[in-house]
Amino acid sequence: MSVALEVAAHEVAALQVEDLRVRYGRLPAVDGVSLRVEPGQVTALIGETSSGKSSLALAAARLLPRAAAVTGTVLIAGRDLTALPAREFRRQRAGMVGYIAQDAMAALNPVLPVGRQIAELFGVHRGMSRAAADEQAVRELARVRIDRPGAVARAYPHQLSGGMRQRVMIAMAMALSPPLLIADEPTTALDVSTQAEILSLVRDLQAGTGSGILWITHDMGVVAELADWVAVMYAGRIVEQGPAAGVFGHPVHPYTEGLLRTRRDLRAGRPGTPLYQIEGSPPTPSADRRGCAFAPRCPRRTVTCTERRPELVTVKASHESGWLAACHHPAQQGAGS
Amino acid sequence: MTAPAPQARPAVAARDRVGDGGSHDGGVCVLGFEAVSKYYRGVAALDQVSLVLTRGATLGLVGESGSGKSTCVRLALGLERPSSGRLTFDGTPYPRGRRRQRPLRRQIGFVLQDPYDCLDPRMRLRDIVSEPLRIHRMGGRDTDQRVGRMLAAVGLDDAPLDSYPARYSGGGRQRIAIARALITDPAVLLCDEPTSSLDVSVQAQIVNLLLEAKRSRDLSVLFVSHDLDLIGRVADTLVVLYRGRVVESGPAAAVRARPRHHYTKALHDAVPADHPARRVLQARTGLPPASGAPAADCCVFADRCPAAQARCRTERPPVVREADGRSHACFFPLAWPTDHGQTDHGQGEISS
Amino acid sequence: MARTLIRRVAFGVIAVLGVAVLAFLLEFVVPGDPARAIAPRAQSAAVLANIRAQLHLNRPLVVQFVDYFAGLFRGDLGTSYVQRQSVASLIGPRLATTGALALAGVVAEVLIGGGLGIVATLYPRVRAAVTAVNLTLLALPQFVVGLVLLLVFGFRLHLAPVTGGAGPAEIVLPALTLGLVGAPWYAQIVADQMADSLSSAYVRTAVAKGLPDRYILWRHVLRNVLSPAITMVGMDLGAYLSGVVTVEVVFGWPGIGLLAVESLQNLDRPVVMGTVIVGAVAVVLFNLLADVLRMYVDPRTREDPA
Repeated sequence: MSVALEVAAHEVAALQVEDLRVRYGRLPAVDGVSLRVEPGQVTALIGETSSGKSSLALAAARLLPRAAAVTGTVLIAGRDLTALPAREFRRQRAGMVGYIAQDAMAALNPVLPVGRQIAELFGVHRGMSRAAADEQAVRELARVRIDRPGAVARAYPHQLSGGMRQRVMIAMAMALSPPLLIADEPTTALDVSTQAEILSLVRDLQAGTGSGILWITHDMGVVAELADWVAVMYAGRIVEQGPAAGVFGHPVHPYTEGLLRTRRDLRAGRPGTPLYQIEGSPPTPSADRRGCAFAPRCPRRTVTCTERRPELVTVKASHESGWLAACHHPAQQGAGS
Repeated sequence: MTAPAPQARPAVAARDRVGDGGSHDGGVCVLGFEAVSKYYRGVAALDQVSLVLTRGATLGLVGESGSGKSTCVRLALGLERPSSGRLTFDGTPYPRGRRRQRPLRRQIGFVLQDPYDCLDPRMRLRDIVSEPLRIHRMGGRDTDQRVGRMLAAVGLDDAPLDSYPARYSGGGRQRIAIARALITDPAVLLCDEPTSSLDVSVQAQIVNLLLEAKRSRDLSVLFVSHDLDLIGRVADTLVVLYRGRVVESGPAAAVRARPRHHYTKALHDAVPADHPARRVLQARTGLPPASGAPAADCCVFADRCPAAQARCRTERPPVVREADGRSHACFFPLAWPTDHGQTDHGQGEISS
Repeated sequence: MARTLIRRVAFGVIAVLGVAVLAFLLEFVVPGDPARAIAPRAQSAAVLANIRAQLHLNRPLVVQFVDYFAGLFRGDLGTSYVQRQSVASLIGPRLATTGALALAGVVAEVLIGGGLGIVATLYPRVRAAVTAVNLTLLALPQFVVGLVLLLVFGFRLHLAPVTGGAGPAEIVLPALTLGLVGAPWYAQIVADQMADSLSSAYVRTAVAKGLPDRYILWRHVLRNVLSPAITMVGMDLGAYLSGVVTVEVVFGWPGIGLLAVESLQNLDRPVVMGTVIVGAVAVVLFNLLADVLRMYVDPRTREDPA
């Protein structure tokens, strides 16, 4: 199912994914996803365990191990990196896409100072001398609002706090000014006050660089704060995607609705009363699923839902093309906001 | 060890108690921390923390990383002893020694954060849930039935008793953990971030399960979390911890709506928005990072507080108890307009 | 970090003292009368009693104990019963020769074992073969390997000298023996650590940064492999320096191990104890050095865990 390519065709998307499929053995982790990230905008990808969001992020960044079978097209700033010979690919990738991992402690080399780990990029890709690269690394750390960047550059990952490590990862990903950033839940493990600072940092940085960001999360609040566009992922497929304000105001898919309602109830419900809950658990990947993956948990399900898989179709009466949902019983739409 | 006297009031001066279940007559103190401090290698993980869990109440302990909330949990479970101060259960101090603590352990069930770490992957479901019964010599011929009833109560009716944990999702495992926690029919349930590692769509299920368990078994619950919203939803009383000290406590609704302490307010302000049109985090510059270990005689939040003044850096703010069961530890607490058009500055009597 | 080191040194000293005490006490378990060892053909009890008096063996146990330890602190390990020389002067030169062998042995096992480990990791197709080689080497006792090498390269092929001696030509076979026998251990940890490293998140980050494969291997992967390898090297050097008895006996290598065996057979108590204590000091010292080196390589080990 092709995403509306008619949208702003004169502007090259930071990321364009067409019918991406990722399989581990027989099990599909990503089951035909098409997605766009516009330059200068944030597309949030929200999903839970086994939604396939991490596999999607890794596939888009071309970081999956060989064991995963990946098909489909991934264009970064209009270019297909895998079409390049291996050596060119390696040389260009850091300047095209920056990947920010969830667990910064694991994603940084424990025996090298963090400054060196950033400086490596300049040494290898820009041919800078060691001293010049180290200085540049300190400047990158200052850019992500680290106090005393010189001292931090000499520190090892285990000596820094979680928030600082995550800033280091962001600095590393942005060092060569790539047009696309892929962030896989970078604030999930952080305190809420640290998360708040990272989110506002990211928005400011993006305003400066104009890069597109694909931000993976499971937290609707983070989506509300960051996203221009949101894609909701469930069981390896996109079940709804559209402009963030519109989706938040009038969600079409029952899963999106459920997520929003859960959060709203948590924030504003009467204390001591039971919370609104979505029944059941997220499904595990399965090779032969009939019907809609969300049906077992869906308050609106009918027999059709268990027999026929709904396809992504344009949401009726929305003024923005590109707002899609995959549901046999979509919510009645008011005008998109 | 003498049998606990359920009606006895804790024999500790009123000035050491912060937060008393939101009711003026105090209620019966089921679990109490009395000026508890805990040091690791000279650094204070807890510094004069006092709190009271009254019978039938839910006490929410809010803190981020480094606040000392995990230390509180370990102390409450008897896994470690405080460096100073003491813990009481039903009015009597925690006994020393594992053997003497056993009757106490029977009365405190606990559910911890990581559902993938808290169940022995080599034990079958039946053994996991019945283990506390065996430890406390409450087993018998009907163990299997009790396990079955408990699993049904947590929503795992059809779970085969000889299955292994690997078969269950995060939510399922947490349910098993809850079943295990409640099987000895404890008086107190201690929950340490029970939903933080779970999917969002499953969190509400587990929280609802805990709420229902509390209601039907008349439990007293100590709920520890970093999520201010979640705690506000489930707890009657809130205690806010920052770097080992209690900075504020009181009835949950009041503390959330009209916080006295600047840290509580900062926590509140850091929660992301509900809707893209109402973003709150955009213009934030955030708080400066914390400096090294705080000195003993200053406010623990002084180096980051937007309202900090000279006094905050040289004197430790005493605990101030207000009329409605609220307390705070701040020289310059936030003021809020009352319904009568006046301003409530949070005055009260100094209790330490 | 200084605190950690001081703590290690202190424990090391306690360990050595503990070994010395144990060695002293064990003496009294060894059968045989030293006086008779010195003068095997003496007939009269008076002569034997005289010898015992000269050696202070007739003094109370406690006094002998104190004497011995006083001597230790002065660096005096006593006098050999058999050779009329100070123990220290006997052990001294042997220390150097064993040291050379130990070093050569460690180099051999690191190269052979490390090589096997790296090959097994980078070329999965030969992994089964490497495992087979490892298992074979593990199963062979030191003396079998030594004798086979001696037989093949010494007696049959005449490539290596077969008489005892301590020169560069003579060191090859014994070092090779140690290398082959110790290799599987290094192969195992190198392979494990490399596999761990290669599948880690930080290597994935390095790949995402577009760093060349060789660079990643060298700067990111191998540095992480060094830490456990260094620990093992420290242990091995210490252990070898306390006397690689089997190899020294097979090849006639004039080191501490050979000395210890001879002294034990001669009931030359002071020398035996001397070798035991020197061995303990070597073990402690080299483990300490390995710790220091590891702290340099892996910053996470610089503080003891809380």
